[in-house]
Amino acid sequence: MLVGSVGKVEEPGRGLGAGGASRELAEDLLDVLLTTYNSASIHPEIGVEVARIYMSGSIASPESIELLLKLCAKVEPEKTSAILRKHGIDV
Amino acid sequence: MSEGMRFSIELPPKDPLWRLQIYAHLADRLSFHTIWLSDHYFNRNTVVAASVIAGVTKRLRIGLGIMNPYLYHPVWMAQAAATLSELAPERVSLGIGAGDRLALDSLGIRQVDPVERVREAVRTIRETLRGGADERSRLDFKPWGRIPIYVAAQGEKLLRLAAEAGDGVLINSSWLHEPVRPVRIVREALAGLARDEKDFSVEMEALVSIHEDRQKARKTVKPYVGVVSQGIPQRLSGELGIRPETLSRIREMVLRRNWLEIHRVVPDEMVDLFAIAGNPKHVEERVEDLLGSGLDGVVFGGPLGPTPRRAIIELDRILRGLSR
Repeated sequence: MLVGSVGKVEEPGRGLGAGGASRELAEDLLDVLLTTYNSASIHPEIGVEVARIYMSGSIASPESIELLLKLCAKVEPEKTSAILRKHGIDV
Repeated sequence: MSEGMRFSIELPPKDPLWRLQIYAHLADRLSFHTIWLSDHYFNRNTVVAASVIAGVTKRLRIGLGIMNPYLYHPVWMAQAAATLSELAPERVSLGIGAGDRLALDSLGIRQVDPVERVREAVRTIRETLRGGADERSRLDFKPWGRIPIYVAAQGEKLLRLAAEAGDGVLINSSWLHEPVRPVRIVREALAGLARDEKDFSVEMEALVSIHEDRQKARKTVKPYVGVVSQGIPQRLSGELGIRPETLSRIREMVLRRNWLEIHRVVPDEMVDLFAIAGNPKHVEERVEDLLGSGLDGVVFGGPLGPTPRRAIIELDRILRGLSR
């Protein structure tokens, strides 16, 4: 993954800081939603909500991660498990 | 590298609108100049997507297109661009081209007199945006800011037309293997017309796919390379050593829109001819080469990468490095 080559994927004005681990988890989950071929399973209103939390900068909040996890588990269960394992979370 | 080089990205609205919002919002905060929304009848509607993007960006220019006069009346395109400028004042560009022949064929539309159709469309759009040639053809409102018209061009006649009628040219990605040639044609045409080059932007679309895993990057770009290969003239395919039977197999896949399988029939050599695909280092080297071609800008199109959000960030990092 690109994360490995460029270090932390960090957007302008956003430090990873103490929330870095959860931000990386959130971004990994977000990328699952952005690349799944199963996007038709994501209701447009939910998709717009994902975009809203991303644009508001709250993608790494516990509530947002819960939403991302729920959606990822629905559209890409295997990839979701792999991401959780990568982040040291038991599945 | 030229001073003030423009780096833009193209987002095909094949993705749901919420994904486009995320990509556009990200690009707005990075170094990109314009987001072009390509137009294909089988994707989401370009103008609707552009309106959504206007709502989540503050700085980026938004390019409609490339649109074509076979599908849309020029007055309709002018009206769409002018309306969009109310959501994105001073940030709208319009791209006009002859259309993708294969897509037009699928709709039963014949691509007759492409150069003349594009010339007439650009003229009518310009007149309409300026207030109309007469009372009947004018809009009842004015666009917010000047809307530059780019002409998308592949063949020599369209390249010359771009220099004559456009505010800029978007050179087709099929020239990526030899970018100096179309740039020279456009610049010579500009000189012949005594046009000031400062008022004209020579830009090229470059299919790009970035990923640490080179093979993954190349596989991801192959559907786009397949589409580009269908637009090249027979003479060029001969020059490049592309076999007719290969083009024919790709054509079948494109017509069936079998994007998941098309990578099996697009040969690896074709990727390097029509795209920049590989790891960040490779992409950086290819982009650096491209910048020596006399271009004023590059529009990075295609998939951008297997994970487009990360590819946008990586591309920005590369471009910032090259700008130093």
